[in-house]
Amino acid sequence: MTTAVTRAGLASCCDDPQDADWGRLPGAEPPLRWWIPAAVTAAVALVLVLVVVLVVRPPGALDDPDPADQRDGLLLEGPALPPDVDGAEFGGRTVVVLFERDEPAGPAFDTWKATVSDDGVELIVRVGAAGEELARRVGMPTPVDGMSPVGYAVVDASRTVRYATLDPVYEKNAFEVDVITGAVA
Amino acid sequence: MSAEPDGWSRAYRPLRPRSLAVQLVLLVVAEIALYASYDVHDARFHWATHFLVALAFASLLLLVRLLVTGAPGPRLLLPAVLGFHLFAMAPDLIFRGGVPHYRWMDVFLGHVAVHYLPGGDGSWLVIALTSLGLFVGALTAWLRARHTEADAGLPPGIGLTGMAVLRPQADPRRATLVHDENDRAAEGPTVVLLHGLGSSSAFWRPVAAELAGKACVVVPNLLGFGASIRLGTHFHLDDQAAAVVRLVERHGGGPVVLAAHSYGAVVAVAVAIDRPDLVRRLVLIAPAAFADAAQARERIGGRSWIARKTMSDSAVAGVACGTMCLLRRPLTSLAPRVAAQISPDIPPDVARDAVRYVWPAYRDALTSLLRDSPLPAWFADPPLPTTVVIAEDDQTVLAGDLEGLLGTEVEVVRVPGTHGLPIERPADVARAILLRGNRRVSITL
Repeated sequence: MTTAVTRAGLASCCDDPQDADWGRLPGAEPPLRWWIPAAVTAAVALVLVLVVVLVVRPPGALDDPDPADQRDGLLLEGPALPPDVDGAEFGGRTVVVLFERDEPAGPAFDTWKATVSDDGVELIVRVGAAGEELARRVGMPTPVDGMSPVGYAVVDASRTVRYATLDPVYEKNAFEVDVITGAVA
Repeated sequence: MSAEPDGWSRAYRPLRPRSLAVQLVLLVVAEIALYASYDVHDARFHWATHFLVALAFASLLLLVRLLVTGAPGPRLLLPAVLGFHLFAMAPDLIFRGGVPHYRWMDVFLGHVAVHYLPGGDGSWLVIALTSLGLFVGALTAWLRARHTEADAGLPPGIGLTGMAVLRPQADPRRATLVHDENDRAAEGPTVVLLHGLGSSSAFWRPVAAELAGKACVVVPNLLGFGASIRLGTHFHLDDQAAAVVRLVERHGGGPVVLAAHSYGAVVAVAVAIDRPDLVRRLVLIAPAAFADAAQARERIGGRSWIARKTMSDSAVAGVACGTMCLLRRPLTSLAPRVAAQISPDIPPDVARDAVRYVWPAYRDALTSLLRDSPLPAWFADPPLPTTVVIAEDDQTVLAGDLEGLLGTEVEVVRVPGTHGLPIERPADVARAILLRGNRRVSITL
């Protein structure tokens, strides 16, 4: 019987597969013990739970009961206002209506006002009960405490309400008003 | 993914402890910076929402990748979370550039819609931790399985999908190939039937039934195929041949009639070369013998998209095969119905087992055909009695191609039929297997 036939290339991994000890070759073992990812993940998950619990505080008295609806950055399409609502005139230019519980004042407000009312945007301020009718017409949300809102609405030149949100810290967020008024201009 | 040491190194790269520690520190620092950028605008809950969404999405994607490819990836695991977070919060970055939100921005991992999930960030926290837990659970099981295999002296089952992601493969040196067996007491020779690529012992059942009472028939599932799907981590030709040798030794040591179909013929000849004392005679039905690798590519690739992609070393083949493994349960239910529409001759169990194999076994079998096939040399001057059954209408192994490879010592039997001869003409194939070696003749059944 001839033995001329051989299997070219078959011995690429080991000469005798029955005696092969591949698993004990360097590099066969994974570089991590199996329990390490689970242990690290458990620790990280614990930290994450704490962070989220601390970071995501429940809505405050002045906030929207549904955080998703507060400062969502989404433009509205309505409602359309008449030219005059409770002494406030609309049409022909973009109007920002600020609702507050106390008369706003101070350098932070001045800065906010300067930022908001540039580019020909008119600012109307309504304080407390004096803004109730206007708040109702522009669709301002009611805060958690059920009292008058603190926040603002943006009405475009065609008297359409394009944005209405509660924002108890509006003085920090002048750029947000600027983005909205810039988009509806 | 290669089952060679350099392949192991590549697969393990995403798990290097030092790299992971550095990635974790970078991720934490980057997230603190992102958190601070939201905190300035009293928008902390937005940071939390988009981070949790990104964590959930990244975890699920990493899980799918692990299940489909049989190895963790990408190389940098944790920056994937940061990347998805930046993607999810992109509309907020755009907002800071002067563009308000629009509904279409939900393409950024549901940037607008995610805020409306009932329960808000509490719900997202649960979803994110569940997704992360699923991924880490699968990764833990994968690591444990690879450690177990290495401890047993097996190459790690990298690239193995299906249950091998979660459980270690069995050691083929300690467990025999799962096989069908009938008529141990039958008169006549012991016949071992080897199936071909993407097949299993089910393929031989019609022939085994024809051989009942005339021979002791043993029909194994090759490593990684059919019922042997959880056997072995390495599927080169020598591994398959060694597994068959062990099976024959455990059945009395032969010599046996080794009958094989298509790719199985390559294994059969490898067995005959390694252990000629175990083989009385070879009967090779539509053997996957080609003049060269180019012809093999043309013939096999022409019949199967996935084979074509595999032979061109395309990563698409691995992903497609891994996805099939992931969907194996529904596919095995669906396959018989689909097969019945295409060809009513295909038995349901053959159709079912056509999707019951692991990707590296399929890939390595094709590699053997291209690079390691001993068939042409064997056919030129076979050291053992060899019968080749040619399927006259075979479109994979063309009769003309095959005849050109056969030396004068090869007994040739011609049978009308296609590449699936053992299920099309089981009686004729059984007769060919039981023929007494009569060289230099050509028979037409």
